[in-house]
Amino acid sequence: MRRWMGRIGHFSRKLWRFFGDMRLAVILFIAVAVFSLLGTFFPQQPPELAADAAASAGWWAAVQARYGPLSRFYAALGLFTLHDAVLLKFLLIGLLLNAAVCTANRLPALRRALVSPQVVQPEAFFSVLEHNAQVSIPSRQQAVNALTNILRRHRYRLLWREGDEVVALHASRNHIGALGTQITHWSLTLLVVSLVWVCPLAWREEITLGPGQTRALRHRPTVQVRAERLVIERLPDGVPRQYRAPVTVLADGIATTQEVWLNQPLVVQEIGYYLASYGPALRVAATDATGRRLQMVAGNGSPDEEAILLFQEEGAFREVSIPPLKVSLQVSYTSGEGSGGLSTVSVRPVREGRVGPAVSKRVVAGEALVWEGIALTFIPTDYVVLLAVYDPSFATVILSALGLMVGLMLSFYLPHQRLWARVTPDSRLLLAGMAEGDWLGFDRHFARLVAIIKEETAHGGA
Amino acid sequence: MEALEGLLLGLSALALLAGVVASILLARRRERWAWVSTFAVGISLVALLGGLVERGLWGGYWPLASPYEFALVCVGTLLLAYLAMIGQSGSRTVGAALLLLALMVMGYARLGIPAVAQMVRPLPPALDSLWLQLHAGTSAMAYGAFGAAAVAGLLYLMRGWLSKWTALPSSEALEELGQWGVTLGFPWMTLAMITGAIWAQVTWGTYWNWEPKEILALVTWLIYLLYLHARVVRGWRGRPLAVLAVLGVVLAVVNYFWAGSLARWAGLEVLRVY
Ligand code: HEM
Repeated sequence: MRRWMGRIGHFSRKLWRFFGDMRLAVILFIAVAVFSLLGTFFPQQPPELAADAAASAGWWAAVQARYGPLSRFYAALGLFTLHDAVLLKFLLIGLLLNAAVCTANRLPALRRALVSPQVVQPEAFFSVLEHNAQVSIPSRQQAVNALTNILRRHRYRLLWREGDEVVALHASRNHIGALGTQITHWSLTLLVVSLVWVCPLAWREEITLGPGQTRALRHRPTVQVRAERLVIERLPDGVPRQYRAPVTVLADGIATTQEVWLNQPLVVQEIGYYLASYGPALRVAATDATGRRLQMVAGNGSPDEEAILLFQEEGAFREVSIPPLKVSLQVSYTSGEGSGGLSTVSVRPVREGRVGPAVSKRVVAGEALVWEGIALTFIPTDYVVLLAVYDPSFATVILSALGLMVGLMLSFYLPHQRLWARVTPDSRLLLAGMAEGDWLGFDRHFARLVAIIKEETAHGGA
Repeated sequence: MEALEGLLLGLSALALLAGVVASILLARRRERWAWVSTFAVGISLVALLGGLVERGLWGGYWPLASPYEFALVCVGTLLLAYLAMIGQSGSRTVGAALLLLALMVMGYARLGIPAVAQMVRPLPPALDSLWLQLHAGTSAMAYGAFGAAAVAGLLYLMRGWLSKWTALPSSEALEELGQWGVTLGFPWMTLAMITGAIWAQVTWGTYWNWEPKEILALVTWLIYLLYLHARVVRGWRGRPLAVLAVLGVVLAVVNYFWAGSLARWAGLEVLRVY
């Protein structure tokens, strides 16, 4: 048992040392960079396709057509789905453990530096530190007074130790800066945790809605979404200025309505609804010879006096049935936008499975196309594609990124600085100093301090 | 209004040219040119700022959205980095090289970008976001500082050859300038990544799409991260750090010019680039 415990202890110490090695961090930084760079050469599968088998299959077929037999190999490496690639997660978890262990390793030294720094240092210490100086002093007391005055003026916190032989000083400032590296690295840890563990909880789905249509979310069937007509604001030269559509979300019996436009999603119960795209649609109504509106059914919708047909692909036929007449109509529509302003509708009747000859017409909103005594009216409109996104990692990712920022600013702009002084019995004042992270301005600061100390000790330490 | 903007930007370019000439003379130890180069850079910066403000007022948006505007703002941050660097180290040779870089960017923006792409245009809906402006502004700040680091790095790498032509600062001084630029730019770049992520989230519902532009920015950020760590923790000095500083800016330039072409070259546009 004891041997086992010993082995486990030995193994965990080895593991700790492995993850506490900065060389590993350098390798991992390079590995993440190289793997990500590879990703610039491969198309990334849109995450919202994951919920749509047909769209995924189409996407995959296009990938296979391009990459041939190597597609599977690339896919296994995760190069088409970097956001979900096992190898990248592996590297990120390595980085996470690496950062956590390195940072934890530094905690005791940090605590010592802040709470109980070593004040008395041997003479040799003063020549080891890069920034050091030696000043001759007229008297011990005068040196102590001068140092106290000067360093207090420079906002240093002082700790003196007086012995019979020597007087020693530890002075430090920007204590908060000492926490910078810790804050940066723990924020990084939180960032990786969010990316690896919280991200997989996220989902996204596209919802295509004609004006006034309502659908339930696939991921949350109790939530209903409805969109009204899309409005495209245009500049005088016809270029779109903004797209807007009023969207209503019905969740838990509460309806929330808001106009959604690009850069302005609607957020209800942590689900964001974004305007993703739009396309041509037709509102179709049928009237018989007596002027009576006929019931129609589009797709697997319910019978209504009006049907809305969405045309995701140019020239494709959509089917609408008119149950009272036992007939279906296949309708194709070319919107005016892409064809010089001419909108064309083409209708093919289907009776008992047999497709009849097509009737085509340029449509003007509301104008009727008469077919076998039935007046069909078409009103061009647009459908909208909303992207519903649930992503609990966003908040933690941004929070940890801000933590990273705060830590960086502390490390770079308020670096923890420490000075040691030793007044020797033979009237020498030894000085040495260092700054967190080898801060650039420190040599100048140290040189300035030494110059002031030399001057004031020479003049009696005012 | 466009005439005023053109006038101010033209003045800025001329002043910058004068600054470059003065600083090259200065780098050849003609001290009396010192004030001319700083004065010319000051004029260039003020005129550039004036031109951009005029453009912003005319277009009704912060002039940070198009590649042309971004290049001009980068000229501004390179000039700011020059002034800060002169205050920091007084190295005139590095200053001359940095001004030359700023002049090249200015030349590209004014002469290399077609006139139609220079015109003030209302922003397309996806770009009409405060987050994009913050993202572009913070990126430009980072690139200004990284530009200074890269110039110092390049001079470091070429110092053997260059010292035949001109007096160069010591290797240590060049290294210190490189580190100064990276330390100054890194927090800005981090902020640029954060604001970019928020912009993408607000506009497309994803804060990270793994698209070529984003990946190249991430790799650039990782290079500077490597720089900072390798220096402090692994004690790297000199050549490898200079190479990293130059590589960071090369990647930023690749990102600016070729991220789209890279996608096309890799055949990604057929499959919808994300
Ligand atoms: C992407 C993630 C990381 C970021 C953003 C980051 C950031 C930083 C920064 C800004 C510094 C201070 C540099 C200076 O003072 O000039 C630093 C120092 C350091 N980092 Fe990291 N780091 C990251 C990952 C890591 C990892 C994975 C390790 C683990 C090996 C690590 C270990 C260290 C150590 C030991 C220091 C020295 C601290 C000091 O001397 O005060 N870092 N890091």
